[in-house]
Amino acid sequence: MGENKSDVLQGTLDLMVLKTLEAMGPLHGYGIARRIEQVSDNGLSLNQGTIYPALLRLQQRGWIKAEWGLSETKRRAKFYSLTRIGRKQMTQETENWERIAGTMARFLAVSD
Amino acid sequence: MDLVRVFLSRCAALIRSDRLDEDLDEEVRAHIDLATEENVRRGMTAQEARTRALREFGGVTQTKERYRVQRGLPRLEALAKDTRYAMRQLARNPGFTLTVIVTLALSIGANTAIFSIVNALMLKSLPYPHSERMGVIFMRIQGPGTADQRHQIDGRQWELLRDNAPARCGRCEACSKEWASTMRGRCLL
Repeated sequence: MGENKSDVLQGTLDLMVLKTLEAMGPLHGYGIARRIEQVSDNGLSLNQGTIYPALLRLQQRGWIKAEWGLSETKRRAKFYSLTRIGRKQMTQETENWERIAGTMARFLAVSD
Repeated sequence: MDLVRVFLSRCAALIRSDRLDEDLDEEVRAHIDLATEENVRRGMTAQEARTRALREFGGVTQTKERYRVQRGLPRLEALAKDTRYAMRQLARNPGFTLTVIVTLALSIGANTAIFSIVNALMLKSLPYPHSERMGVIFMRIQGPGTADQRHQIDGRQWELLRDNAPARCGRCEACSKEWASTMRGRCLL
């Protein structure tokens, strides 16, 4: 299991969560975890539980907020959504990440 | 700004930690249930679905622990725990506790008393204006037999000095020598 899976880099999970919430609207923890798995095409070795500390971290910074609500199957679950600050921060984090990814890509291109 | 907000939120979490624990338990339970439901829809048996859901979640206990560390102020909580432990140990050994308390009380008391004296006598200046210019006046009778003996002066001599002696700084060696020689012979015993 997991031989071709990448570990999640520190800090990238936060951005994945933010992007997921932007694309899907309010969503519970399980939904976020599933969405991340689907988008990454199961290429990440990520325990679903790992997203809860990340969700808490984002809440503490005020980037997302949580509310209890009902799932499609009428189960009580906590739904997370982006705040205004969260949206702004996400833009900035996205730029950061793109810069790093761009730099990395240039290094990889040189060694070819 | 972020740091302040995170800190405040962590402090708030300390106060409501029991409620937040329940919240977390329910959230994790909801997660497992939702995952199980979805697995069942994909055609697994209930047992399989649940096992699979738990496996994909990873360690439930570890996750909760990591969550709690992120939520509160773990160092402060550890300190509180250590303090409670220390108190329990002290309550269990009253003899030892008594010895420690008495030792501490006596040593703190003695230190305070000694410091009060040293402070009043040596560290604090006297409650007069220009107290640093105050000095001690004594007489030295020169001549055969009684060389270099210090004598205190009495009230009459002091008045005589006060009315006749020229002003000097009185602090430096040269000054006091000069002063002494000026006064020599003027002092009427």
